[in-house]
Amino acid sequence: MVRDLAVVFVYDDDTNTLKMSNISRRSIQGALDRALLLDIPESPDGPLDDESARKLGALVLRCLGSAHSHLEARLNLSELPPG
Amino acid sequence: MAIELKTDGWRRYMMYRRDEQYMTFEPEQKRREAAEAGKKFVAMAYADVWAKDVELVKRVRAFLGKNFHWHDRLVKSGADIDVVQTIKEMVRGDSVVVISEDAMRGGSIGSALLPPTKRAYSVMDPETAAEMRAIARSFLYPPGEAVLSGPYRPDREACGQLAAARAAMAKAAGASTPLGDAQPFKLGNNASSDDVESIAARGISEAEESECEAEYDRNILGCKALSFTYGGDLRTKLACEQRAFETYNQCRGY
Repeated sequence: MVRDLAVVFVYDDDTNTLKMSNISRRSIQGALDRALLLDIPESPDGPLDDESARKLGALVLRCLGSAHSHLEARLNLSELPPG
Repeated sequence: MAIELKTDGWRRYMMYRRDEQYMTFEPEQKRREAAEAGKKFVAMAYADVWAKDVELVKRVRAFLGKNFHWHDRLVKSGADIDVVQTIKEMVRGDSVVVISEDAMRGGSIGSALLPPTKRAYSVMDPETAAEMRAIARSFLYPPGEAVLSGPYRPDREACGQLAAARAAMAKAAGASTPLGDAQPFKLGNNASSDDVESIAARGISEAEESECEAEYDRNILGCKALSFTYGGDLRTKLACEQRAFETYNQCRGY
C-alpha cells in the first residue's frame, strides 16, 4: 500500500490539459511546513459523497483557473446553492 | 495611497496598507505607537454607527477596492455593515494601518490618544493656572535649549539628505489645508526598491520579498476559492486572509 503520498494538480498551458501527479509527500514536506495549509470544510468523521467530490473538484479548478486564463475561460461551474 | 477613514472633532485618520510607507522619517517606535493609537481608535468604534456614515463607507470601499483586489465583490455589492466590519477586522489584524494626521506631523501620540482637557487648569484660580502653565513650559522647553521658533527655513536648517527630506515632508504635511478639503498625500514611493534600509535591516532581498508577495497572492486566492466554493461566513474568510497575512509577515521576517 502506498503511504507516502501527496496529490498535485497542474495545468499544462502547452496542451491545455489538466494533469495530476502522485508524488512523495516527504519530498514536499519542507515546503508544506512553511506553507499555509487551509482546512477543507468537511467534517472529520462524516461521509465524503459526490457533493464533497464536486466541491473539491470545483475548488481545484477555480484555483488553477486563476493562474491560467485559458482554463478559466473554460470553467462552467454552478454557483453555490443558496443557503 | 492613503485614504481618509474618518475625521473626528480632533483629527483626521488615514488608512494605509500595512506595507505602504507612512511616517517614513519617524523612528520605528513612533510609527508603532501611531499605528497602535489608530488601532485603538478603530477598535473602539461601533460598526453599526460607522455603517450609517455614507461617506465613510464610500471611502472604505474605495480604499479596499484600490488595495485589496480580492475584496472586489464586497466593494461592489457587499452590505455597508460588512464593509465596515471588514476594515475593522483588517485593522485589528494589522493588514491595514490607521494613522492620525497629527501623528504624521510629529505630534505626540499620547496627546493624540487623550485630547487635552481644559478641566485641569479651569478649576484653578487664574494665578495658579498661569504658574502651572509656566512650569509645564519649562519642562517642554528647558532654558538654554534651542527652541525652533519663527518661520521654518529649510535652507538654513538642512544639512544632509535626511534633513532635506524631513524639510520636504514638513512642507508637505505642514501646509495645513483645512481638514474638510485636504487631499490625502502620499509619503514617498511605494516601490520596495526604495525601501532598501528596512529590507537590509530584516535581511531579505528584493527577490525574496517578491516571492513572499507571490506566496501571499496564492494564499489569498486559496481563501477566496474556498469561501466561494464552500460558502461560510465572512468571519471565516477574514480569518483565512488574516492567516495569509501572518504567513506573509513571517516570510518577510517580521
